[in-house]
Amino acid sequence: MKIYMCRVTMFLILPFVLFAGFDWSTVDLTDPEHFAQGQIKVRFADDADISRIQSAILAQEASVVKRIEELNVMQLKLAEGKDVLETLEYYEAQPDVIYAEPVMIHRAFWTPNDPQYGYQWHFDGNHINMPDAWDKERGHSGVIIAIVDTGIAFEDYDIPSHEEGEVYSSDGYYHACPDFTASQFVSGYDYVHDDAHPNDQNGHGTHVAGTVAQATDNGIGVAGMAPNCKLMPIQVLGYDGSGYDTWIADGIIFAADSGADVINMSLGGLPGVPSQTEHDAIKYAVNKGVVVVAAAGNEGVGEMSYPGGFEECIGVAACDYNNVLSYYSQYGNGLDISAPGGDVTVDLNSDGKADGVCQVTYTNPGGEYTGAWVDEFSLTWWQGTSMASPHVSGLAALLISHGITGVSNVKAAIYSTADDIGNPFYYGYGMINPSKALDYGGSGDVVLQIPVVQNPLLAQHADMWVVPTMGTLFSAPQVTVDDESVSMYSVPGSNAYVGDYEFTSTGTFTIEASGGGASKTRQFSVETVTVAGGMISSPDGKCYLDVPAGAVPISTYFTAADEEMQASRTPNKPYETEVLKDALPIGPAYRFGPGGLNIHSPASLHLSYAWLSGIEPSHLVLMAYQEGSWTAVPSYIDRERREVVASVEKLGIFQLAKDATQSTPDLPQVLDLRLIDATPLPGDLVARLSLAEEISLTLAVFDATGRKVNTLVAGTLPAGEYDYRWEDTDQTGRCLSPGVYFIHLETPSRVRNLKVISLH
Amino acid sequence: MSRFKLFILLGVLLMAAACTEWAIDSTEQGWDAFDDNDLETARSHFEDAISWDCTYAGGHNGLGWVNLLENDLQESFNNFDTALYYDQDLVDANAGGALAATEVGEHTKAVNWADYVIAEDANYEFSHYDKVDIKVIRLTKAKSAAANGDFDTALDEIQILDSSFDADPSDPIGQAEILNKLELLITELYSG
Repeated sequence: MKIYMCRVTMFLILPFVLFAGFDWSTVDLTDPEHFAQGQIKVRFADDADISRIQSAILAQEASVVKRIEELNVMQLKLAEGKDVLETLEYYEAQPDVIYAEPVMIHRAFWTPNDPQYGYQWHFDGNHINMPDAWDKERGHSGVIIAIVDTGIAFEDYDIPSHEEGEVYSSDGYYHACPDFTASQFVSGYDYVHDDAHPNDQNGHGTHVAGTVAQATDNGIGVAGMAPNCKLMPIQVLGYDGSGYDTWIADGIIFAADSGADVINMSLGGLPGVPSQTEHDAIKYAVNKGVVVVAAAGNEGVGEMSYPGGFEECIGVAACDYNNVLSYYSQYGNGLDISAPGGDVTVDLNSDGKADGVCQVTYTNPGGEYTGAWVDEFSLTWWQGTSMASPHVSGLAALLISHGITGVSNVKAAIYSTADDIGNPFYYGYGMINPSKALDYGGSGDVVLQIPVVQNPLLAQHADMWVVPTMGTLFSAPQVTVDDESVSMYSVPGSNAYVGDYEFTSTGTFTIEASGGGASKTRQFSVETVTVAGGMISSPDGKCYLDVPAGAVPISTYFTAADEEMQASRTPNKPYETEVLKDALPIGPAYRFGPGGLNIHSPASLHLSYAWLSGIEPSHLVLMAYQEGSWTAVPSYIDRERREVVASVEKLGIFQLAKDATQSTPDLPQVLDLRLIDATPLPGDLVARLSLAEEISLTLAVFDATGRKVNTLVAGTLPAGEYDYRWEDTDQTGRCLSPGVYFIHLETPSRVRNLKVISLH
Repeated sequence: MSRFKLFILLGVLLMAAACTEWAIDSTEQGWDAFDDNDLETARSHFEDAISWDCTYAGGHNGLGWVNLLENDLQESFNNFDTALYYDQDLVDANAGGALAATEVGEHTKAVNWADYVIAEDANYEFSHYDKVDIKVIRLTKAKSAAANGDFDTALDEIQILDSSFDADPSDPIGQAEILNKLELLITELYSG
């Protein structure tokens, strides 16, 4: 206490500095899980008046627990019964105080599972493809990564007496992880016990450190991202995986002052609740040129935890085996990048192991109330943004080893080469691509983002944006949507560009932008478009609806989406209809909305069965979901195109099914409607219809608005050729006005239109 | 003035009043057809209304909505612009106008017209098409404001829809965050 006060006397008077900090009345400060009870911390101005500080501390009957000298932050213990919020408000009002905030307890973001042996799927060619990256760079021994965590199992060390009750060991020693024996370490620090032996008491830090720089190609265990770099163990979390933010701030400053190039923090606090002290420490480190990487958090909410959410940090989300955001991963503003974090609830690669991130750590790790057994190691599969973050730290270390220096350049290399896997709100710049990042040439540090802003009513109209979030664009970028060029315009007062685009169908589109030496590619899905007719395909391309012009109100919103109709049917359970008893659903259901909407003239539905094998096509039947139940729709088999086709008069949900008792007929190969003259005079031959067999059909004339103006044939015609001459009249024989008309042919399975122009 | 001239003037005035009445009747018939999703019949009635009284804003407004939903956006914008020339207080025309204007590059008009709707009715919903409500209008305003380089206004509108969202509108990263959030809010409209 005396020492702290002596140092405080060196402060000078500075004008009052206003700090608009976090509103602490919005969180529960009595929650012992996240806030140290009866403690606060206060940052004083560099030249604060010591007498006022002393009187402020005495007035609150507080005592100094700890001081972070570099930040002028004091951790204070309050007198019994003192209200934390009121005390914070008291200090905030003092003239020499920059901010006051509670002492926060941050935790490691992790969820351990039972240890098993297996593969590191997250490094393979279907994920971040480390073999490709290792061909280019395996790290340099001059590059140091600080693991600010629960420590690392890096040495054999006699457990000190004051740590004996916290961990277990059969021989009284901390042991080095066997797969770290070939790894390189520099001295770190233990801020939990205030000594120079940051041995892992929990197992979390060892797992994280393994992903960054596990000894690789040494015939033992598994691999790490940057095996030739050095690790700096810094313990800021105790045996139970939690610790004060003041310890974390100390750890960050130690790393920055001790030559770390990268700091990994697989830890954090409550979503959306920042620690200003931690933030100051991170800014301190970044100003010294250190790349700081932190996990997004594991609460599964759309708000980042801190420090991951700080702008200076690279905030990392976790993805599962399918490169989809893991169910637990936090996301939102402040998220920068994604990396594999796993999901131990599934085994999607069917290797018999849960799909966690595989690393070596303690066989019996620490838990909420107990420390680890620190003498036994095995492979473990863990999930978490804690596991994702070290992938990014390892990549940062590889990039620095490869000669890409400076925080902004390292960030640019990681961000600009990431694979776009979805909306940046969930994935940041996307999934890291180490091999591509190592090829990063600088490109004037330009990093592009491509937001797509649709019209809120007319989904097919969209603004294509290109925003350089790093660097400057000196001319309009080149933008294409599925290879179709988009004209881009400069946005006033910004370096961004925007262009108009109209999607003409539903589906997933590839958008590419390039400019300033940088390029970016992303996918964008359009689920609805407004159409007047034409072809509407499902996103997987296996189903399409051919809608005659004018057959639907033009304002109809079409949704062509494949979806599992779990609500309306049970997979593998036969449909229960009056006609079919044993029809089993096959594949997804396809929705062409809005359901139940009548179509003025039938549309032809085509469902591909080309992807099926071992099924006799005639046993396929088309099901439609109408008025709350599934019914069989009369359909035909088109063996040439390998499609089931049907004529439908209502929009809705459709699906293939198989019924061995069925014999769906083949599509009659009999139709040919040919245009003879597109601009006929009255009485001229316009079209010729050829029928190879008897068929029921309708041949009619529609005007451009979709209104039927004349029916030429409606019934069954025998085989033969039929010429059609147009007298330009309606049903009553009255002359029609000049304009565009359609000769419209309909059969139970096919719809065809010929456009003719009446000039008379 | 002679009695004859007075008689003629009275006749003209009566005729003008009758034309407006017929325009109103035609417009009502147009909305009936519009509500039945029969846009072509609606168009015909709205055109009739304009032919009875070309200064009747209601007819131009109706035609604007038909053209909007038929995806003829430039024509739709012209219709709404005309409607608002004759009656700038027509809320529906301001709403439809904002939706059309944002797609024909008239972003300042889109923002102003959306502003008018927001100021007049904070819970606005277009009575003839429930997909158009105050959220759609706010998003349209944000979309056009951003295209004008006014990311502050875009952020304000987004924060009304999601108070937890924040970004720095003066910073390129913040601008990208605003646009990404806008993308998300609009895609949610379509997926929800």
